[in-house]
Amino acid sequence: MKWIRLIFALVSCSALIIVLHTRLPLGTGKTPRLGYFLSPQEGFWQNAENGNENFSADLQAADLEGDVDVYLDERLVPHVYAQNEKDVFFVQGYLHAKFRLWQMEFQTHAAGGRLSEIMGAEANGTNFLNVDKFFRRLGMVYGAENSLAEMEKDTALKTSMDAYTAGVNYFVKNLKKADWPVEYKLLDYAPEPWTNLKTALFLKYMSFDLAGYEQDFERTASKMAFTKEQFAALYPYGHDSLNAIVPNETVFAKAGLALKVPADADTTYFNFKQSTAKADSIPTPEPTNGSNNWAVAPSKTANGKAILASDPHLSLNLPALWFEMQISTPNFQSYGASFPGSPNIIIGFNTHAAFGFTNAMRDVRDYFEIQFKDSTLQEYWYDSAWQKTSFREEIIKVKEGTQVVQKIPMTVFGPVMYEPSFPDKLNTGKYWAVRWSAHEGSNELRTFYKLNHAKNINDYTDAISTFKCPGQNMVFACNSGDIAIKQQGKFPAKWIGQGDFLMQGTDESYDWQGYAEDSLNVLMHNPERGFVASANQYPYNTKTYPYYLGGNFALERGYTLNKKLAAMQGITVKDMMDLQFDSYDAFGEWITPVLLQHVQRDALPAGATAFIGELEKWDYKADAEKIGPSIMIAWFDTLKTLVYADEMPADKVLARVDRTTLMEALRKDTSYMFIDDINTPQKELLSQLVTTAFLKNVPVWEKAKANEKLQWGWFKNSSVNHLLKIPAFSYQNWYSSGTWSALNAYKGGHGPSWRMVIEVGEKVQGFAVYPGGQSGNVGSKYYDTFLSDWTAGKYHPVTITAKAEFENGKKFIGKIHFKKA
Amino acid sequence: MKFVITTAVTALVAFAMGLFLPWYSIALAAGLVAALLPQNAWKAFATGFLGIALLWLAVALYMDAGNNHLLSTKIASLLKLPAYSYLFVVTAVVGGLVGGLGALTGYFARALKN
Repeated sequence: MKWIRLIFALVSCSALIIVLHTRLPLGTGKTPRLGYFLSPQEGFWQNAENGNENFSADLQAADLEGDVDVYLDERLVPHVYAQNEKDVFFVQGYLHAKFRLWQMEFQTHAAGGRLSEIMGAEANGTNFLNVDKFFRRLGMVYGAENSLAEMEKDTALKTSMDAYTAGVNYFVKNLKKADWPVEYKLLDYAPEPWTNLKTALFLKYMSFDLAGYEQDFERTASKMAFTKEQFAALYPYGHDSLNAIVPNETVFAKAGLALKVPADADTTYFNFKQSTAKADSIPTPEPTNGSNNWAVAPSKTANGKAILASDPHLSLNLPALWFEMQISTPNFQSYGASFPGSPNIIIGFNTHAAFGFTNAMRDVRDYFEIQFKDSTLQEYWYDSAWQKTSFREEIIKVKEGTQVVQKIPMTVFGPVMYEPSFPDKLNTGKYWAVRWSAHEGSNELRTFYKLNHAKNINDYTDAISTFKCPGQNMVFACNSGDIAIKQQGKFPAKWIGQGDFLMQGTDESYDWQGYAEDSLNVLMHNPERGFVASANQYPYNTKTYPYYLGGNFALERGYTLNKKLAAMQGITVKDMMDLQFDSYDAFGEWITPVLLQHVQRDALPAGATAFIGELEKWDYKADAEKIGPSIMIAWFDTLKTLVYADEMPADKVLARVDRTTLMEALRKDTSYMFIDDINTPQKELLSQLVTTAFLKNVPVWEKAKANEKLQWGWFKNSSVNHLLKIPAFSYQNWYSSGTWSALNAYKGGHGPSWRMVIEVGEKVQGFAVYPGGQSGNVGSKYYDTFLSDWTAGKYHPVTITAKAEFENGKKFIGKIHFKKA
Repeated sequence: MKFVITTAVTALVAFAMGLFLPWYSIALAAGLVAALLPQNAWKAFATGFLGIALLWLAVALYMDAGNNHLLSTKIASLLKLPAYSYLFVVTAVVGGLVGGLGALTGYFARALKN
């Protein structure tokens, strides 16, 4: 009896512990290990950071060469004072890890195709195994390895990366289990050591995000579905209202390369049967990843100092992509937004100059069909001969303990990305090799490193000269008053239409034949008009530029920016901040008259005309409290569906038509060829479609109005999501101004990820803000501190602070002192 | 009195072990205390439950107080609890149950000798 009750108690106790120590299935995901997670000495409670947390510490590290002081100012921005570069990057790595460790690791796991390791093969409706296969087959790790080799050839760069990695690992090694970021506890895995390869992977992830957008498969399908004339109307090259980065009237040099155009480039080589089955979970970067940057010359400013502005538009996440800090050594001092995962300041300023970036939007990723000799894939036909295939093994570990091996054939183009076992979007059943600029070994870190040190325009041109991918519009201003912009990158020299479609991989004339010569990446230095600017529009006039500019370009923001800057004089820093936050919507101004003119007002029910009235009184500003943008965009989007749905049914894989394309078409041609519904005998008119589109939205607007959600700030349904998309850690349906076609391009989960305006005088300083906070800890009050200010268009002063200022009483909330051990 | 002392000792021993050992060391702590300070089966369970529940509640309350409920509110929402206060109950009950069963096991083991 005594034994039985003992065994009963022991078994119950053990069983309960086992259950509480196991991740239990919940929906399509899993719970954390509840005993561990709830344990206040080990689990999430430990992450509840004290509101008066003292961040001060005295630390000793063997990898340091001297003492380093870090002052954390009132916004938790670290100001690092080191005696040499090695130490400054060590401490930068340490601080990134201290405040953002989980995010650094998660992002590089995503880039390296390792999400299955922490998320499992499938969770919460996402097939992570497929996502991992995608990144491996795309050649992310391959490209990162190539770049790492290139970066490590450069001694200064290698030193900075090694020191950075050592700094991260110093933090990781000394991190107590109880202090692991809460995401590790939720997903139940452990932090691992950092490596230089992870830094390279992080930079490749930016290449994927910024230079990874293409629609080659979809466009090929569209090419098969439409006539040449229709295709040109759906996917035009160039924009009617283009206001290019380099002024439209610029005369370009002749192309240095005589490109051989394949004889059958225009014919229907792709005669495969089109499948409607989509391959699942193929990640596509946000198509409108864009940004604004500009610089105005002293001649245009109120106090005769150049001003530089830069606001990169990216996915807005918590923890935020950026971490604000100052790094200083006797050799250089710089301040700005850094990437947790990489040494240096990425967008910011130093004591002489400021620098910023926007995305070039050029298509640098193409697919080639590989003809293998047989099913062993050992040889393939190229350049009139059988070429030997090499193979790259990618091992994907899955959380459940299994592993999946991808044996990827490598060709002259690059890895074979799609094959029958990993089907493409069109399910062609063929082998497609991918050629992507990001595969090439390149030293992007050098550009940032050199810009952190740059003093003048020559330093700038030297710094950017080696940058290959992702192509960027690099804006610069220095305290001599110089301003400059250049679209820098390694861009394949393309014949018209090259790379818009899938290409054959047997004929070398389909392959990239060279790169646009650097002289055709035009540098604008101190132009007479007194400003340089870019907003992801075509860099050059498409009618006169000697190479084909394939890509995915925005029109509206660039148009607005160039017009506004041209008209401004006596500019102040405040003017530039207002311009970054400006919600003027050029798209809205262009399309609204078309909608209002063609709607059949007598066909509308009473009451519905109120919505017309709202649009009529709209001032084309997409501010949060306005109703007009909610009417305009819902109306237009439904109209767009009506115009194209008959030719492009939703279940068919076809290339997306830009809103801008339809807007520009309707402005010049009210009998645009796609207006007629091809499934009906009669001929539809624009006025019918405009009216139907309006009527379809009336119930939507009425419902939104009843819920007091018709104001644009609610209606646009913006968010700032936690990287794991956990609603409790995110801000969803976040009331805010901005729209995709305004300079303040906040819509969806996407927008200005860092706003910075810098006055470049004897003293270089200015204002900045980002939608997040310095701490990545969900349980810290610094997790989202800047979000409200950012939403309201407010900024914080940013300046390179001398160490003596803190020593003499400037306020700070923590001081970390590092000593060589 | 013994009841109160046993409860307090359970909490203290569990806290000390928790500084070095994984969370389930609370069962060991409660079991050891119940074996060394034996009462009866019901009291063993009750002191084990209360000792650990109060310990977990106290540490959770301490962490939460300085944090202004910031994290508890988010975790409560993540776990689909109506408010952060429920999280204290869940935390205390989970810890308490493990502690109670641990203590019961310890008491029964001790009882074998008698």
